[in-house]
Amino acid sequence: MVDRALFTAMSGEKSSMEGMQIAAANLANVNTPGYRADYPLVASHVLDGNSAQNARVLSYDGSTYSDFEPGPIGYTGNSLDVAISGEGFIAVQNKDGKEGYTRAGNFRLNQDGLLTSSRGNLILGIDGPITVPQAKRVSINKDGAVLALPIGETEKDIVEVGRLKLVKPDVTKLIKGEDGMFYINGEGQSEASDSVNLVPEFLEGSNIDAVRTLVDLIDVSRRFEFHGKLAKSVDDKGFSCNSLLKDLV
Amino acid sequence: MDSALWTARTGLEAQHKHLAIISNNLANANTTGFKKNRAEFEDLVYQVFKQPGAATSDQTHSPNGIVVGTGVKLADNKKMFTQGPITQTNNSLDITISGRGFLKVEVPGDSDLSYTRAGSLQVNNQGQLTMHNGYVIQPPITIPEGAQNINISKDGAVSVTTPNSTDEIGRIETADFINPSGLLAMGENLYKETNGSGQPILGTPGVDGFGTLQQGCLEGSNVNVVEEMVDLVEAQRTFEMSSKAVSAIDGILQTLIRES
Repeated sequence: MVDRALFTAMSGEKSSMEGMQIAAANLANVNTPGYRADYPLVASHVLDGNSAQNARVLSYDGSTYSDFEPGPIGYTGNSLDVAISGEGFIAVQNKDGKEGYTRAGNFRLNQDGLLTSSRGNLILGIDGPITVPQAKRVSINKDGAVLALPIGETEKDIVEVGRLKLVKPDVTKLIKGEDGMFYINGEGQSEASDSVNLVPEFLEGSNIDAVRTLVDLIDVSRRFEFHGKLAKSVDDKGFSCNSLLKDLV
Repeated sequence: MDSALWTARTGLEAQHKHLAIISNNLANANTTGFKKNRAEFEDLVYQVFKQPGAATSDQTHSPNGIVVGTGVKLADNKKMFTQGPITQTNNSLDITISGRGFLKVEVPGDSDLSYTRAGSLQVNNQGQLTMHNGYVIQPPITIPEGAQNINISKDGAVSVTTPNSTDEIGRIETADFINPSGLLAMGENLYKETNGSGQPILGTPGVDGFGTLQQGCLEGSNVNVVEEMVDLVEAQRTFEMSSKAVSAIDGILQTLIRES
């Protein structure tokens, strides 16, 4: 039989382990355009609140929340790259037809001429997905208009083939979906906003601060080892206890 | 949640940001009219474990206390509006503001005026004087067709020589601000007014402390490359020192885990 302190230590270890997993996932995405860092929420949970001495306070991992701080933006020179400076998101339609939001502005054209994200999800314009005809040159301007220079035409005949749907939803209502895009909690879509600053030919990196995450990793791994030490210590005491009892009987 | 570790981490993050500021300065060492940014740091809030001057007995007070700091942060990143080096280009549309003042520019799609120090002017297809990127200088000055010589005087009077005569066709006005460092840098060599900069003060170049206009010259970037390189080395070493603190703390924690 072992002291119930082992389970308290185990809850701490589990939280630290989850913290390490989140830190590792963040570090893995240091180079992903538009990625938002996740942070764990840890709460304490009192077990057996009846006793005067609260010796059983477990920690449990509530959930994660995403950090919506803007990441660094850098010039790429690609005509289909856009970055958002400040708040705001680009509306994208996922494979199930639901509207999601992203900051990753590295667009491309698929074989049907539709403007898509790097994963193949359709970028939404204010009138739905944007189709670009065969063109010599495609570009996006800072108001979100997608401009194409059709083959055979001159500079004066640049035509607007769509306008990006840029939104500024309340970030407290956004949750990260499995595909990395953000969705409004519950159902619903956000209205297009005209106060989003788009910077064409730039790309926003992930908002992971590598320096901070690495130091957090050190912090979390040492914490994990502390809990391990505690668990071992409890185990040793239980062992000594058992051997004492064994001698008595 | 080690406090020493968190404090050391702030040092790393601050120098990391410092490097970004220095890189921007170095990247713009050749940008006409660029004004360098200077990073300033401040210490973070202190935790008081024992109040200095607390009474130790009825007659005595403790001369100091235990007050522990929590690190550093980047407090300020202000643009230094010192004059950049002036180079002669002998191009009649290049002007430099020697002293205080900004040219007023209209950016399409923006009802507010923007301001610039980049005086490499050009003429657009309607004959208007514009910045190098086509934004029209305000108030608009139109160079008539057939102009052979454009002359811009120290106080901004623009006169043009045509085969028939020499006429003054307009005046370049400059604007100054009480606190130019408070202007919002927009990129493209442009600045915009903010609450911090104060209202623009309109004036004539050369009068009442406004800088004069010099034709045929360009103002270079005021980045001093030597100073930036020294700052770079300093930032790197300070980063390394904080990182040494992180390793030391990590070592302590490892010892604790191993030996206890």
